[in-house]
Amino acid sequence: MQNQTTQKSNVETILTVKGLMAKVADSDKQIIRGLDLTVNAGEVHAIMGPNGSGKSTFSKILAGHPDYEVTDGTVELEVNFRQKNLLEMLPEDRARNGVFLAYQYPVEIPGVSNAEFLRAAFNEICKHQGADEMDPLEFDDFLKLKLKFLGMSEAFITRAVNVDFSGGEKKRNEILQMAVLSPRLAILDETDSGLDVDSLRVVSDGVNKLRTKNNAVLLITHYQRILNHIIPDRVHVLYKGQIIKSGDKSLAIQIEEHGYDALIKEYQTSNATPASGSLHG
Amino acid sequence: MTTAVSFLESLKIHRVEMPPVAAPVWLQTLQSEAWEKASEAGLPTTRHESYRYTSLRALAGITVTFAPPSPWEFLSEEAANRLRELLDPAGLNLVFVDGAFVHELSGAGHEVDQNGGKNWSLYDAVHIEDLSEALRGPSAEVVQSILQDIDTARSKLPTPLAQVAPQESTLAHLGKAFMNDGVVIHISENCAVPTPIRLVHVESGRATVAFTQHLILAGAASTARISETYLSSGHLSGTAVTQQLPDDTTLRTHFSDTSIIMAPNSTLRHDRLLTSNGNLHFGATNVTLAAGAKYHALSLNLNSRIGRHDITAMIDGEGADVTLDGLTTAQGEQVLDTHSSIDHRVPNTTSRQLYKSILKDKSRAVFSGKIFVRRDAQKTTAHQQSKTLLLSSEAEIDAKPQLEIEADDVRCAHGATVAQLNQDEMFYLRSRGIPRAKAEAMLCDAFAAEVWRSADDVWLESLVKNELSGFFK
Repeated sequence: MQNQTTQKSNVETILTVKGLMAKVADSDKQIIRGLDLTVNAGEVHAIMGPNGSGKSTFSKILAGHPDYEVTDGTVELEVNFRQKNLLEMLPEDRARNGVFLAYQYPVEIPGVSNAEFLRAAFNEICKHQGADEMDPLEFDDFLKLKLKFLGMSEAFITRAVNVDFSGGEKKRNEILQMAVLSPRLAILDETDSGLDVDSLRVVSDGVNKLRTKNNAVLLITHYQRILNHIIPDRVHVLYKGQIIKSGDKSLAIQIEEHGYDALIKEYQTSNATPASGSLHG
Repeated sequence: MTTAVSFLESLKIHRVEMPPVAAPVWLQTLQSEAWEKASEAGLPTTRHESYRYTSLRALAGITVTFAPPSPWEFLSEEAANRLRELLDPAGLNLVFVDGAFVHELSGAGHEVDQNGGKNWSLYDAVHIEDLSEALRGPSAEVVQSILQDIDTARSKLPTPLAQVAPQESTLAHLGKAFMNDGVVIHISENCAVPTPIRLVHVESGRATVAFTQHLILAGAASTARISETYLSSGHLSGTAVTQQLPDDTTLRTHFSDTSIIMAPNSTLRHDRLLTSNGNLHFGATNVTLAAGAKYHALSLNLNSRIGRHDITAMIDGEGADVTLDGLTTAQGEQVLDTHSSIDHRVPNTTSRQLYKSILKDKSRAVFSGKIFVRRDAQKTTAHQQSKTLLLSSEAEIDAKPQLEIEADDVRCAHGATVAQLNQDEMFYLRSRGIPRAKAEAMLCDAFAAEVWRSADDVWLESLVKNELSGFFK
């Protein structure tokens, strides 16, 4: 796994965020205030920050959540070696082009079985990529392989999506979806919150197994704990909708030891312009 | 013809012109009394409580045509073949075209004793007779007693439940006045009918008015499954379900009444599917339950220009149990109207109801659910739930729970919810690559499935799925 992300040659850039500004739709509440970030293939970026800094909002904006409105800036996603404007895409098109959001609070969908849901999603992506769709039997086998790969129980298949799942099961189910859809850019929104030690290990192992040199992971987290399991290439600190500091994994340890306050003070006193993910470190 | 003749006037002409048939005196009396009551009262209007949301103006313009004696012969070969394919190979099929019983298509293969092509019996567990034969043959007394028992049971309905204005009973009286087609089903005591009994009604596509009367006697400790399906001509031509409303001149109208008497400890599963697309359907189910009887009904009202179903369960024996579930889907300017009434007359009885509606466009649905718990009906448990999904801001549901409880030691609950599609669920599906329309269909399907899956009937499910897939598209 490479540690340097700054070199321009021979590195595919998956996500480029420039000067992103966003607010809550139908309100004046500005949440993202000029965010810059570049994520290359093969990298894991952690975005950390205190509560209310805009971490979850940023992840939802990338997935196309209608609750937020982008007021300025650009977000580009690499699709077949071309940079495409992510913000113009419908949520379903973002997913088909490889964006995956693992939810902080996965949604329960009564009456829709996990298998039916996963097959519908998988086949949409197949269709988009011009691949053959799978029939229920074929997909069942495929799903069982994925479950085995992740060390998860087959009981996940028949249950209704997230209904009566424990907190840990819901998060594991997100990772199962990630395994099935094999995204280009996986955004994990506080996937570690509320997880017991065992679930955290299953989830982290799952993510690590799914990492390749062609995809990238954006790990949104409040705590350093998950970063012991999923080692990040870059760590960014988000505060009031801007990245105020970026660094390598040692930044996460620094935060664990001294908290966010020291970083925020340092940022405020220096009154620096917001740091961008690709320039500092 | 210079002026339009009203629906009732045009029925009157038919009544006069009907060929004289040898009918027993009681039947002649019953039918002429019913006709007098109907024609005196006239059709109900939206001023009458039970028709407040359902205008019958569409009926006014109908020129009445009855199906010819053998409507079956008017089906194209393709439609006839399609109809044969549609029948349940594992069921006892009783087929009606434009309301008339088609003996040629009915039966259940070699397992059935066919007595002269008119009667069926299956392992002695069930005996079935053509109503038009029964009315005039040796079974006339049985028919008369069933009709009287239902009438007596209905006469005991409390005032808040009974249809108070005479006009509100007009359609029921018309049904009796023109009663001829239908079947009498007698399920033998202590017998479990091994195959489902399918009352399959199809339309040839011609504009006709049909009256159907089915009578069911569930013998003591018997068990049976009966499904009543009313299918539009679209099902026969194999074409997709049409969405547009046909011209008034081509409207089909069907009045259908199914009356059921359940002897002690009998169990009946009764599913009723209406997909009479673009037509007018007025259906009624009346059931009386003796001690320990269990009646489980599923009413699927999917797509009609006007589709009404009045279901009345009268519980006369302790330990009896009633489940009434329903699903309504409507689109365009369709009006689908479900009125349920459950009368708990004796102690220790239970009832539960789950009615769901999914409404599109400018459609409208009514769910009026009445529960009556009499003073003597202590220890009654009654639950009623109605849930509606509105897919358009112009669609409308009129949900009207009405509980009248006179006993003091009862457990009764009711609830009604009206909602749009859950946006969090929609976004979750879309964020996995599923496009909006498909995500909507998946969520609607899941909402509906909670009701129809309870039928646990593969044959019925395929009809329902086919109809719903057209609706959710």
